[in-house]
Amino acid sequence: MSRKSRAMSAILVLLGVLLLSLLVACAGTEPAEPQIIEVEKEVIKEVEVIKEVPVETIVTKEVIKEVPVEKIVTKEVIKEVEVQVPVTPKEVPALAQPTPALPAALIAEQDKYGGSLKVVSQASVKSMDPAFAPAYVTTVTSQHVFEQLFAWDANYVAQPQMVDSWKLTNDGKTYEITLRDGLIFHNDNPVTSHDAIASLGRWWEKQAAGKLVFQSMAEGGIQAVDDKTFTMTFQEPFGALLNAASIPHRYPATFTKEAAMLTAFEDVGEENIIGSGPYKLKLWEPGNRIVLERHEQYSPRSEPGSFLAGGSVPYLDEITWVEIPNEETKIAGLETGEWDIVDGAGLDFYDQLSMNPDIRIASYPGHQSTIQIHVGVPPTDNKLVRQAILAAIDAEAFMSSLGPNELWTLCGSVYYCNTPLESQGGADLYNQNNIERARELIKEAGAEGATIKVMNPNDYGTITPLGLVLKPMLEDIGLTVEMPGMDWATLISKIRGDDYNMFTTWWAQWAVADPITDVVVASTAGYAGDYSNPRFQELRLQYAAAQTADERLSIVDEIQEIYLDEVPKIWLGQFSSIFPHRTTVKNLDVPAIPMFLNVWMDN
Amino acid sequence: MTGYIVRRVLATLPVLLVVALVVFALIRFAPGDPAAIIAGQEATQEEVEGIRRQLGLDRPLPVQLGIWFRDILRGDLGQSILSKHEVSELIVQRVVPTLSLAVLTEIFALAVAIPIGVLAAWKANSWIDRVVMVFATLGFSIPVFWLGFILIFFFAVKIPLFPAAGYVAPSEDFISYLHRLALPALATGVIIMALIARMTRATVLETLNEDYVRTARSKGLSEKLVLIRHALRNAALPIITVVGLGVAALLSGLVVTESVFGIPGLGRLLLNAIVSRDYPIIQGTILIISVVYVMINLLVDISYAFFDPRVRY
Repeated sequence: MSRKSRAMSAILVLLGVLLLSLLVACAGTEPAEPQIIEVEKEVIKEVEVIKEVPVETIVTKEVIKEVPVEKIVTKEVIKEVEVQVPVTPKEVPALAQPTPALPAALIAEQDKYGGSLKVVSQASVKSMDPAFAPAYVTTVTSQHVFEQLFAWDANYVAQPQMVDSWKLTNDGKTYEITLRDGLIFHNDNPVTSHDAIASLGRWWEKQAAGKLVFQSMAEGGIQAVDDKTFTMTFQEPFGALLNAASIPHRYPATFTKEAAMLTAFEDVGEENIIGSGPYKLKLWEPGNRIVLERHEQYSPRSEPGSFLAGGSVPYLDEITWVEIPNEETKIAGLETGEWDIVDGAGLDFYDQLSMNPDIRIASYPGHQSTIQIHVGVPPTDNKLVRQAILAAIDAEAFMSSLGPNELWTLCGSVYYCNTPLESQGGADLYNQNNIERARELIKEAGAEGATIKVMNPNDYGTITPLGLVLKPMLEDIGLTVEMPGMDWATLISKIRGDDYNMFTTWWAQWAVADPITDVVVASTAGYAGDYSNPRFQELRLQYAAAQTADERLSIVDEIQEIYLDEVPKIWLGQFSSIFPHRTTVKNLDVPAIPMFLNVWMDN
Repeated sequence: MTGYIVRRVLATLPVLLVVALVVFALIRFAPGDPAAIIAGQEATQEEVEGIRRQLGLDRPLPVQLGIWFRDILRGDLGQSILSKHEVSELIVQRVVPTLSLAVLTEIFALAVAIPIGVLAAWKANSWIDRVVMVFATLGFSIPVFWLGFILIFFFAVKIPLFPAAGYVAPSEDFISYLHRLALPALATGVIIMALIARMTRATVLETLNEDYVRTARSKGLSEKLVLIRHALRNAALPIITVVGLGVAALLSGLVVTESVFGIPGLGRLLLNAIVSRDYPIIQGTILIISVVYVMINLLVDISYAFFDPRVRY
């Protein structure tokens, strides 16, 4: 064969390969034919929808009990009546060809089902056990898998979730709680009161609110009545059960009884991530991705969905959390449609993302920037020094260091603004920005030139800038500041020691929502900063027993006044987390943490 | 040869023992307490102590070291103290992405570096040589993360030819697997390419001045044959050493590329473990990387005999 022939052959082979690649590529991009599997899936949903047609449903309202404790709960018992024309899945027309008889609203409802949502996780998910790990990402992922007895609605009010009905005896001491029908674990076993009781036991082994519930109960105070009902009896009237049990972070997740018997000081392991929630764990590649798929047997509540409460409809086939460590890459992937949502994107990207018409930004403003002070180490063991620091605070300078003005607000309330517990107690002591007064107090305390050691992490976008504002401010009022460089992990490891005076951090309303979950108020000792106040303990118990919202607010007012006088911590203001997502993601709102219940994809 | 290999393998054991001891000591004395990190900022000291007890971190260090060594001898690298996943499983999951990226990087680097290195040597001191060397110096000086972002910006965001980030296993979709690794391999490969190109130029230039090359030319062989058969082959040993060490270094040194491009490789596994002070993962990963490093060195040494018949062990 001549050289020319060989060259021609080579060119022909190359062209053949190219043509083949082109064919394969084109085959992959052609519109998919309707698939039978998809049709079958939709059929199942249709049956569920038809059961909810108002005409065919008898609705009776029945007030179980009007209790002045917590909120008044009006329980709706909905009796489902079979549709008169029996419909079997095989008889229902395929989704692609809906019959004219189906109302438009139902067709629209069917269209919401399907699709996969890809979320960039806020951080690496190390554990999915909410009773073991307090990490934010543990809460976000596991809340789709596990359910809790009561849950917050979008107004942060406790509502029954796994519970069908609950009653409180007239003496205010005994709750009788009945689980709702249709609760099925992902291993196909029904949820029983025994699972719920064991899970509560795992919760109060560690969590502050859980501990309070346990300590307030009578001995042997939790008893199963039958497979669906159990009682909780308290030593004194206890009005805080619903609030405590509905907190979304470090929440009382309902595990199987076997898993719940394991100690909360150890992870239950992947094999025990079995809940009864709308999604179940399909795949977990630690450090890479977590894939949840729809729990086909999940039966949502009949009320409209509202954050974690009400009907949580799993429209999506799958939710995948991928771990992308780099902020710039997260944003690039969102802009190119590689993924649909970035959980907690850097605030610096807000302006850039706001200008992109394919991206919508949901935000949640409930993060409180905080300076936590050690009251057992000189010179901050002196109340005057702490008050001086409080007097010097220019809250606006701190908050504006975090990001654009749209993403932070000044707020003088310890339990957040725009919540039922927003307090005005001691309001004039917040954001004084009075350097002269601060210097006088430092002088009065005899602490001029004293050395203050500040721990400020250098790897945390929403904390690191605070230290850069704090250091010159402290120097301005006459203190000497040491601020050694450290990462967040090192800081967390040191906060229970005595080798510092203060550290910068943030709290979120979904974690520290009230005096029950507030670790400073809850701790008798042992929490970072070593602050302990017997009056706080009394007020916390009073709060737990409080009967009305006004009573609770008046307790919070006093707690806030003590805080601003004693200054074991200083809150600076609130900032928002942002959740930029493609506009193809529908019905995503973030009242606290990003939940993808009732979220669908516009395909 | 067999005796040499056996001796070399046995010689790795004390090296690995020292590595294990140093890693164990370094991470235990570094600041950061895994129990405190797990417990979070809202935990009390009592809670932290409870977790530490449960994880066995309250035991004396020699006991913890003994338990680790005992488990290693049983072939058990332990479990993640956070998620309870087996460390060996995690490492196996992460080896494929990292190895794939390392191999693709080397292929890209070799494909570019050898020709331009030989060309630079052949045209030494010409403008071609200078251009190649400037290019190589630039390639070696550009930070990987910067080049990664630039590549993403231009070839994923502005001109969407490649995905911005992420990884797909070859078993799931082989084309997508290669497609997603292209940009990261390019970003990392530029450095390796620069290194190999400079090494190739230097060694080929040296051999071009040897007597046997002059003899080959005087026999009337074409310049192509002289370059490839005589100069390049004799210059191969140092290049192989650089390539081998490059693969070994890439296995542990791809952490920046893996982070920028969201590839779940060994580097990210290690980095995540360090951030959360997950001792078993840190120890296990570094130990395995050390084993691989030693083995690649051994393979490089053995390959000398293949390329240079004068080398005998």
